Amino acid sequence: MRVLALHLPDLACEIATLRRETQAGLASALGLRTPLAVVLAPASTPLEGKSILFAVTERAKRLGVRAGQTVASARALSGELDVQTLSPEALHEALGRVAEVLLTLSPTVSVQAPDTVLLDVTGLSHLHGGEAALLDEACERARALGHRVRGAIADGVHTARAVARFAPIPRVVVPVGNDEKALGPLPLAALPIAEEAQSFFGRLGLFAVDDVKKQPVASLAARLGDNAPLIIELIHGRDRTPLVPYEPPRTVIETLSWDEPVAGSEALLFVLRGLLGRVAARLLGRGEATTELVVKLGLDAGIVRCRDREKQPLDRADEAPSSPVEEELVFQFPVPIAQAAELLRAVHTRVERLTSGETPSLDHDQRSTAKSNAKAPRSLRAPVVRLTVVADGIVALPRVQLDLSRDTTVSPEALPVLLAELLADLGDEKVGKLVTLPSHLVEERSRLVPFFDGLPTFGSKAGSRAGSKGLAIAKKNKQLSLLPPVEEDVAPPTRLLRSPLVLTGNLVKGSFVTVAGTGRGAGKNAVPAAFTVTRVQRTERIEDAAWWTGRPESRDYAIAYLEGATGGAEALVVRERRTGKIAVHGFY
Amino acid sequence: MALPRPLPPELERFQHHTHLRGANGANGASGETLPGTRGAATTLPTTVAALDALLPEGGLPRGAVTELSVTHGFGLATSVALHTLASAQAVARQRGGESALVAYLDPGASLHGPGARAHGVDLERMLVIQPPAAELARVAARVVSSRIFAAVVIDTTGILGARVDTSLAAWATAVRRIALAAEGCDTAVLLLTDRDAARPLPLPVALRLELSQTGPDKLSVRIAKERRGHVRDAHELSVARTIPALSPLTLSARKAG
Repeated sequence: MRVLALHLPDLACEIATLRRETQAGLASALGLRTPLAVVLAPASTPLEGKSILFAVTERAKRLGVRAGQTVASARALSGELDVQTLSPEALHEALGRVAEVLLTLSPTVSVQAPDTVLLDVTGLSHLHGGEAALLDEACERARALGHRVRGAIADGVHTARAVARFAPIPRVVVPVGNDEKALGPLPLAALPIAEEAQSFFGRLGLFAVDDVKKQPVASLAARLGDNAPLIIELIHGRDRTPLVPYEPPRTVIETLSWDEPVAGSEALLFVLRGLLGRVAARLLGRGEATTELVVKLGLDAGIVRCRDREKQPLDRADEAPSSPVEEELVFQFPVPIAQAAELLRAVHTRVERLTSGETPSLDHDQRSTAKSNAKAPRSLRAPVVRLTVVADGIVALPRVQLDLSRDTTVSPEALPVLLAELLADLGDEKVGKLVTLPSHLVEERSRLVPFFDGLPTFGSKAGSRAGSKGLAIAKKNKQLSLLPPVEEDVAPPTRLLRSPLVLTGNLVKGSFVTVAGTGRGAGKNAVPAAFTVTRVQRTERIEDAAWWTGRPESRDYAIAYLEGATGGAEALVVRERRTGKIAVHGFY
Repeated sequence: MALPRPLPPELERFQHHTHLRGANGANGASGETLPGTRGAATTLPTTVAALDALLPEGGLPRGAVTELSVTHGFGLATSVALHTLASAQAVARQRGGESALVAYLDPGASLHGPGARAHGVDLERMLVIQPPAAELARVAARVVSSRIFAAVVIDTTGILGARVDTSLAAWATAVRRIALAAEGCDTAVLLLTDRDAARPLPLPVALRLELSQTGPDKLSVRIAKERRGHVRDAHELSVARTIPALSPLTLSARKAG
């Protein structure tokens, strides 16, 4: 087996530093120079003088502060020392993020707290140009996430980890079968030996692994405790420890919070871009993509409460305000998306519109049937203090096979990305393709349906919601496509009015007619325009059509050429036989 | 005189809907390519022979914006636009691939599927977008800049009874942006505008056609602007239906007055 180990020596400090910078605000981040130390403890644990420091920054080390000291003694050395608490969960989460970006390098990635990520690279090096190139690639990916990293490749898990941590150079490839030789010069801390035993060996003048190896096995076993068999095997270059694979969470969540509320769209989009970049890196690292994205804007609770109290009647002023302090925007994509630029393009417009307070202009139908935007708020009630991006509905990243027979100037993913953007912007009732349906009623012969069939997803409730919705859409579209093609007896119009225009007058050649809603003015107040009927061709009669709906229709259709003051057009005219009403239904 | 070759199979269905007349006036393409496309890769024929014969380059310019100016949405602009979309799809099929993707921006939401299909448009490969009128320019620029579509129709006028409430005042900038987005690619952009709408500046289009139906069987076409300066007076074309009440319009040339 060949194992690649990445050691992140400053992981805890890097996480604490990032948190401190974002809380202080980006503008003042550059001014932060105070030394930092980290205590590893659950989030709810209060910081005490006897808490033990887990990690310290270089600046703190220069002042004499070391990991393992108590907070009190560290503060005695440096009064300005900033001590932050970091939970083991946060550390594991950060390690998980690194593991995710490495998932495309190896099928088996493991995480070992507090600072190591391991990959099984047996038989993989030739895919990356050799083990050295593979190690470089892995290190660069971890560095791209903002971590200082050291790496090593060896035959075993413990050896690789030890070499990565203690070797004098940051990147080492131990040749096959040379684990024993590689471990030899390393300090005893490279082995899983208890501190007490290390101190004991130190008093005897045994500081390196080679020194311990020279001792009789029986005396070693007595001192090494329960781990003796493992350690003895390790120092002789035999390491059969298996890797426990890391299971990435089925939902990718990235969040950032800050103290100073932000109201402008520019700053929020800047933060959103960074978060989406991290989401995309994690998705691409796994070889997966998302079909649903939720952007949550955490509002300043104090301002929300103030504004709610202003709106409440005086007699209820003391009641707690009930408005939520988080706004949520849900984006569903017709196809899975993983690239950061594409995710940003899909969400950019709605977030910008929301944060700039711009009311989207909606036509009548959008106002009355804004299903997809039902949860989308019009503007923010308060400035934002937290931004969370949740990628749900995660599926395997679709791969497009190279096909030289088609036009390769445009990326095959360009259309799905454009569709995702348009759907997020306009809603799914406004983007799609037209399908023709067999119906006696002209107005039911055409429908706008989603452009792509829905794709099933898995892994989350939202994913299964999207999946079941997608399956429903796919089923409906397939049903529509299985219907026989519409055989038109009459040339179909190119334009069909949703609300036919009432025509007043006799529909005979040479007569004057007026068509409501077409003249000067707007809407219902429009003065009807006058036309001369130049030609009439009766085309179709339907009798008791759609009788099963309980509202059968009996109609006569005709194509009439209507000539007006500024020109003419051929119109599809319908006469309802029951009421005698004549209306213009469409145009050619 | 050589007999004209029969139409390629995928274009035969057009024969009943439009007259595809070659230079010799007989049905059928007289070569491997559609009439008017030989040596004219920068143009997209509308497949309406009489109209293509009128156009200076034998078709609508690709990588540029063509304005179809009509009154109240009349003037068969929708028919011409749908013919163009069908042509773009047919050209792609002729190259051996599948139908090209085309787009129709219909803020009035009045486009009728059977009508589009009757013009030969492959509905499976036509994206229909119904943006609000205020967002039309922005969405159009986005769609054209994606460079996915072989042809894009942008309807700023709608039809009588389903008018699009948009002013052309701001469209000069929008059209310039769209033209820049289309430049260098194969996308033909058709902009349907209302001739009576106020416009402080003429739109910066490569070709402007003024269409109006002057009678049940007559369509007037005037080339009001052309990038090489070939402006022409109104030409009257005959509107005829080859199969009564069944096919979309066909146009045959008739000399003006």
